Amino acid sequence: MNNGKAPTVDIKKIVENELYAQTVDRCFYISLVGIVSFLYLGFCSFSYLSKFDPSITFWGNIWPRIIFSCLPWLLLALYMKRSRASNKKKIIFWSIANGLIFNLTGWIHIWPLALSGHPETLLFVSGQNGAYFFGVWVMLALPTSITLHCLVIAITTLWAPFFLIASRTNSPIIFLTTANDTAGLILLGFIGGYFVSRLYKELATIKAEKQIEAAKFLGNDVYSAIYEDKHDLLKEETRTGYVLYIDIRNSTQMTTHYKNRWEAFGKAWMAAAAEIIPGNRGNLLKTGGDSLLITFGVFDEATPDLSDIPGLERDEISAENQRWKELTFHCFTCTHKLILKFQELSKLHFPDVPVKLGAGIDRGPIHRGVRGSAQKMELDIWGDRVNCSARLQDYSKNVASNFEKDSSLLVVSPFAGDYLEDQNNFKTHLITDGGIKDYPGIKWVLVKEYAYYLKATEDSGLQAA
Amino acid sequence: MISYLIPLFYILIYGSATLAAAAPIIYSASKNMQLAAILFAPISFTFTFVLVAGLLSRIGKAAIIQGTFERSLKDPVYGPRRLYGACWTALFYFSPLYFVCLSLPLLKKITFRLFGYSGPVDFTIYPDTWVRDLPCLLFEEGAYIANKSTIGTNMCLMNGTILVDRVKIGKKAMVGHMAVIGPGAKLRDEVEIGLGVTSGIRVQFKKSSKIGPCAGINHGSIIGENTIIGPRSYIGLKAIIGDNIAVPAGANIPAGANVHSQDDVDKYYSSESIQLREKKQDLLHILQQGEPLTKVR
Repeated sequence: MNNGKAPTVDIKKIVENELYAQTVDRCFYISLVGIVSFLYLGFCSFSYLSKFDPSITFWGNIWPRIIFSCLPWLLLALYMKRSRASNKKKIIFWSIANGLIFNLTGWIHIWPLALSGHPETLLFVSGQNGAYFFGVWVMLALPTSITLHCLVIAITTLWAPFFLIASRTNSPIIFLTTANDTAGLILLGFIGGYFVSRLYKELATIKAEKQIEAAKFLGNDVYSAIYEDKHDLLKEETRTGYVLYIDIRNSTQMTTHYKNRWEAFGKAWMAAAAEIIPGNRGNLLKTGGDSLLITFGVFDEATPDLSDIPGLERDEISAENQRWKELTFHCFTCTHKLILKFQELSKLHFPDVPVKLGAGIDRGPIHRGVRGSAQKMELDIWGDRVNCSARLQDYSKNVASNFEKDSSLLVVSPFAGDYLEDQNNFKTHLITDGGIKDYPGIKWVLVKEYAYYLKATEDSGLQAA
Repeated sequence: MISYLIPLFYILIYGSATLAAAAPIIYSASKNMQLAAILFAPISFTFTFVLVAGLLSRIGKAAIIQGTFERSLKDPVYGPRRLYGACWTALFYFSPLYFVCLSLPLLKKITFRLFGYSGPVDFTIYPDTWVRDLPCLLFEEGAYIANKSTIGTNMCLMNGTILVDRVKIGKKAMVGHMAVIGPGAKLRDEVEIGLGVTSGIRVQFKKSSKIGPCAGINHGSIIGENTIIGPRSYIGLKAIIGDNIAVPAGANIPAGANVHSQDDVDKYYSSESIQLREKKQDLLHILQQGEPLTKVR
C-alpha cells in the first residue's frame, strides 16, 4: 500500500528470482537447440549405423528421432515457456526430462547395437555425448541453490543408464573409456557451470543494487509499476483527496543574501519534510526549489467500485465520510507538523531573521497519471484543485496584513473545511478585496496563523479523526 | 424456450448415461460378458454422464460472464445461464458421481475443462464445497477449498437481478470450513481464510494475509499483505487494512477506515482494547487513590 515511503526491497530475493528466470530462459533455448541437433544426429549417424546393421534405413533412422527426441524437446520448450509452475520446479523438471530424452535417443539403434555385439557404436557417440554432457551444464549455469539437486538428477537419469549400458557391452576398454569420460565431463560441466553462474549472480546483484538505488527516488507507485509489473498504478484516473501547496516567502532574496546558509537550511527542511509527509500518509509530488506540492488520498489504494450493488448507498456514504475524516486528520496534522518544523529549523539556522511560509489547502477531484514524452515521463497530478491550492497559498500574502508580520499562514478553501472538526484555531476571512486569482467564486476562506515568536506545541491544532 | 430445454437436458444427461451403462449389459453375448458389463457399468455411466452434461453445458457457457443480469429466463444472458446451471447442478448434486470426479485427477480435469474452467486443476476441493460458474473461477496451484465452504461467484440481489463476478484463489491459499467468499473476491497467494469467515463482494486479500475464524469482511475491503485479522472481527465496507498489521480479536473497523499502521488499529475499539484500557485505568487509580476505578464484574 502506498505510503509515500521508499519501497522495501529484498536484494536476495530479487537476485534469486532473476537467476531462476534466466535459467528457465536458457533451458528453453537449449530445448530448441535440442530439436535441431538431435534431428541432425539422425542424418549424420545413418551412414555409420547402417554399417553395423544394414537393415536400418535412412527413414528408419529419422522418424523415431522425430517422435522420441525432437517432439519431447519441443514439448519441453513449450512447457518452459508457458507453464505456470515456479521457475525452480521448471528447472528441476527440465533436468529430469533432459535425462529421459537422452535415454530415449540412446535406445534408437545405438544402445541396442552396442548390446548386441557392437560396443564400438558407443565410441561413435562418445564425443557427442561428452560435448552434450559438458556443454549443457556449462550453458545452463544453474543457480547454486539447485546445483546439487540437478547434479544428482544428471547422475541418475543421464549418466547411470548410460553407465549400465556400457557395462553390459562386454568390452572393458569401451566401458571404461565412455563411462569415465562421461562422468568426468558431467562433473566438469557442473563445475564450469558453477563459475559461470557466479558471474551471472554478480551481474544480477549489480542490477538489483541499481534497482534498490532507484527505489529510493521512485517512490512506491512508480517502483511497483516498473519492477513489480503493477502498471495499473500509473494509469490515468481521477481521485478525490487533499492538495497542500507550501511556499517559502522571500526565498529568492534569502538565497542571494545568505547563499550557503540558505542552502544548508533548504537541505534540512527538505529532509524533515521527506520524513514528516509519508509519516502522515502524504505524497510529496514536486519540489520547486522553495515550494512543496503534497497530496493526501490521491495515491491511496482504491477500493473496488460497488456502485452497481443496490442497497449499499447508506453504507457507502458512511465509508466515504470515514475516509474523508481520516484524510482531513492526516492532511491538517501533516501541515501543522511541517509548519512547526519549518519554524524550528528557521530559528536554528536564522535566529536573527524571521523566515515564514505560506500554505494553501484544497479538496476535491484530482487527476493523477503519467505525463511527458517517451524520453521523459513523470508521475504527476493536475486539475482545478491543484491550481486552487497554489492560488490559496498565494492569497496568504494578501491576508498577511491582518496577522503578525512574521507569521506563517495557512489558507484553507471552504470545500476543504467541510470535515475539519475543530475550527477554533482558524479565522474565517471574507474575501472583499480582488478575490482569489482565477477563483472569483470563493467568497471566504479559513486562515490559521502560526506566529513566529510564540511557542507552539505539537498538540495544538490537531484534531481527532 | 429455456424452460422446455432444461428437462430435455436432464433426459439427455441421465438417459444417455443410463443407456451407456445398460446397453452393454443388455446386448452382451454371454453371461460372462454381461457380468463384466455390470462391473464396468458405473464407469461408463460416470464418463457418459460427465461428458454429456459437460457438452450440453457448452451451449450456455458463453453466458457465464461478469455483470448484473435480470433474473428472468427471457433475459439473453440469464436464460442460457440457467441451461449451464442445469447441467452443472445435475452433476454437482449427484454427490457420489461428483465425488468420483473429484477423486480421480484425470476425470477432475476433464470435468472442469468441459464445464469451462480454464485454470490449473492442481487444487483441493470437496463434493460439498459450493462452486458455480466455473468459467468465472480461477484456483491456482495448491489452493485448498475446505468442505462446506462457499465460493460465491454469483449473488441474487433484492432488486430481482443476479450479480456475477470472478473469484480468484491464489497459490496455496486456503479457504476454511464453512467460509463464504463473495463474488469478485481476489485471494492472493498463501492467503488463509479461517473457518466461518464471511467475505463480501469484491474483497481483496493480499498475499499471506490471515483471517481468523468467524470474522466478517464487508464489501469492497482490502486486507494487506501478511496482515492478520483476529477472530470475530468485523471489517467495514471499503475499509483498507494495510500490510503487516495485526487486528485483534473482536475488532470493529468502521466503513471507509484506512488502517495504515499498527498504531491506527488501537483507534478502533475491540473487546480486548476496552479491557486493557480499563485495567490500565484501574492500575493508575490504585496507585493514585488506593482503590480501583471500575467495579469488578
